[in-house]
Amino acid sequence: MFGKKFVSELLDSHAVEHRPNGSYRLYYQALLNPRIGKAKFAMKCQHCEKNAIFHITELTDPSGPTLIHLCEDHARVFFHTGESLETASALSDLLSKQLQLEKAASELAQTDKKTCPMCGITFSEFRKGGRLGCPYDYVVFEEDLEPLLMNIHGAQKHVGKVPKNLGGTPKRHFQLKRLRSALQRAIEGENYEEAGAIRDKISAVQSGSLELDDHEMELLELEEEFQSLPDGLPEIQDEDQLGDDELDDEELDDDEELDDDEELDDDEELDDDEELDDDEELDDDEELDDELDEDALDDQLDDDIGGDDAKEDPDVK
Amino acid sequence: MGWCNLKIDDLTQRTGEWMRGDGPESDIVISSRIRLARNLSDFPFIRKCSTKQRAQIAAAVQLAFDRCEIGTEAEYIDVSKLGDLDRQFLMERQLISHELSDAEGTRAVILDPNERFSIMVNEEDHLRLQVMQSGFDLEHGWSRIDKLDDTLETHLQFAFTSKFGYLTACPTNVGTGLRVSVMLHLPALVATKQIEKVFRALGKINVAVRGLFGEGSQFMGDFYQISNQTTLGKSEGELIQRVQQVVPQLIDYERKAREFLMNEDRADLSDLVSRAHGILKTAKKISSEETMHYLSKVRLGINLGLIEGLTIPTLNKMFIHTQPAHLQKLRGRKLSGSDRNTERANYLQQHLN
Repeated sequence: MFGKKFVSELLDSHAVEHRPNGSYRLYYQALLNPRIGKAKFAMKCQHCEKNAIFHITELTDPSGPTLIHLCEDHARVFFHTGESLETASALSDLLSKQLQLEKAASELAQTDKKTCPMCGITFSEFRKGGRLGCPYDYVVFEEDLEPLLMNIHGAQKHVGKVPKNLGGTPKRHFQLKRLRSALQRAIEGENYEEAGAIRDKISAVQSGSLELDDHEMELLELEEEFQSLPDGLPEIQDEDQLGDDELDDEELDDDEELDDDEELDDDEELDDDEELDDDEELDDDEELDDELDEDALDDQLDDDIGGDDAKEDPDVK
Repeated sequence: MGWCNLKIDDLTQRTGEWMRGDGPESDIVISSRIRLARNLSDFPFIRKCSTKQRAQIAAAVQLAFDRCEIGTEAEYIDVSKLGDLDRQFLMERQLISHELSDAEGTRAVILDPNERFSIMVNEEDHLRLQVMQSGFDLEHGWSRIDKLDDTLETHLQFAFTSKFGYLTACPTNVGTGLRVSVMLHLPALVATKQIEKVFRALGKINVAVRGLFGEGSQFMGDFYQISNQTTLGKSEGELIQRVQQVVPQLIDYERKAREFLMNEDRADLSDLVSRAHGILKTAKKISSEETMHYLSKVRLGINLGLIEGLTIPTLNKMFIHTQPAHLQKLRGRKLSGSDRNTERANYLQQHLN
């Protein structure tokens, strides 16, 4: 039911245990047969974070083989008690692992986009193919490689032989690449003084007496990016860009309009100023008027009442 | 290629280092092998190299080789110019890998005619240095390859950072770039069904087990290749020591298992060996898998004194000569599968009777 070739491949490469219930259990160690499962990196135990050293293929379920990966401790339990995957603890362990994986998915998408400026490989390309593109990848992807290396080797730092000839670090090669591009640009732009200075830098980096700092590297990268843009900003009045006479006329009209507008603006400005002045004047006048009116009204009131001083205006004394 | 083909044909008649059948513990340990992976610092890794870059890398290595004192007899062989048969021949001798043979573009191998070292160019990494030795001996192997590495380094610059060590295309090789492996013949452990216990024990200490002819292969002829699993975080000496410590234990288990078979199961064992010997002597047609299977039993028989008149070196010669490409080279022409099986049987009959 699993396919004759698949089963024979499994049987050939695994140690086979015939279970009492008639099913088979096959197991193999670590890198025994990398063809099956295509395990390129060390697997983790299904129940904990330790490395799995037992890989068990169960052929009991008609729907297909079940792969189980266990560390030494959990394997001991497994073999001893004859647990199967249906136990509650195993299921819940699997579920929690699933959640952990989902949480990291968005972060992974971000990391996957990282690209090496030397060889152009993306982190996602590396993950799919299992191979890096160039030595500089170990600089670009440093942070992301650390946990992977820990998983594979149980270590992140090299211990052991060091070459006598230490000159060829990936960082140096990358800096030289950027400097050479800058040199090219300087020569093309006929900035020979700058070209000389860059040449000196190149020699210094090659000999190891100079290392460019992050700021300088950023500047070089920005310059390279700008190189791909057209020179300066696009100009509307540039006749060379346009081929039509009609367009030229339209341009002129536009210009006139602009001028008119500007004039209007100027006028408006003046008007505004004048208006302001007028307003101020008006306010003053209005105030005066109000006062006058009040007095006039008071007089009228007095007249109406009969000239008596029966009600004296408190303000007027 | 004139001289190139001659050299390979020369090899046909020789048994080569790893099959010599002498060296320490050679009744159980067939060979010891150490490999280093290196990449040139100013090129991308192989997969991202253009055709031109591959040619440039090979040229740089060839130039370095010409200038170095690697070995007066060693030859630079352009693998891309070899025919199918010659490439398969080199694979059977474990001088090149399957990957190098099948790859495209400029690739090469620098070969010692005594087959004690080979340097693959443009395989998974730019350079794969390898030293081989008959029997169990890793110390001498390490000092030889260390020296080879230093020598090449005087004319080439290797990709290296102090943090991650020697940089390789695959992170599983980064750091030391070292793979140390020992090939063992364990027929008694297989016959007494203890081989699984051995796997478990090895797994606990990060030692990998593979079949004959390397990665992904089956356990043909009761040959098992054990090697280190990790390459980063431990020094070369420590990695070698780990494998070195394990081998004597394995040798001990195998010897005990052989003793057991002789004492408890002598009749069955004798029968097993005789039958194997008999089939090899009388078959009219036989496949290479069958041959390897029976030769393994005969080898055990010789080691236990159950078969006389046959030595291990002769057996090793038969083992290699019955491989498909070797058979055809001996015959001097290509043969179909069926013809090969007949030819193989003829060869065995000739040499066993």
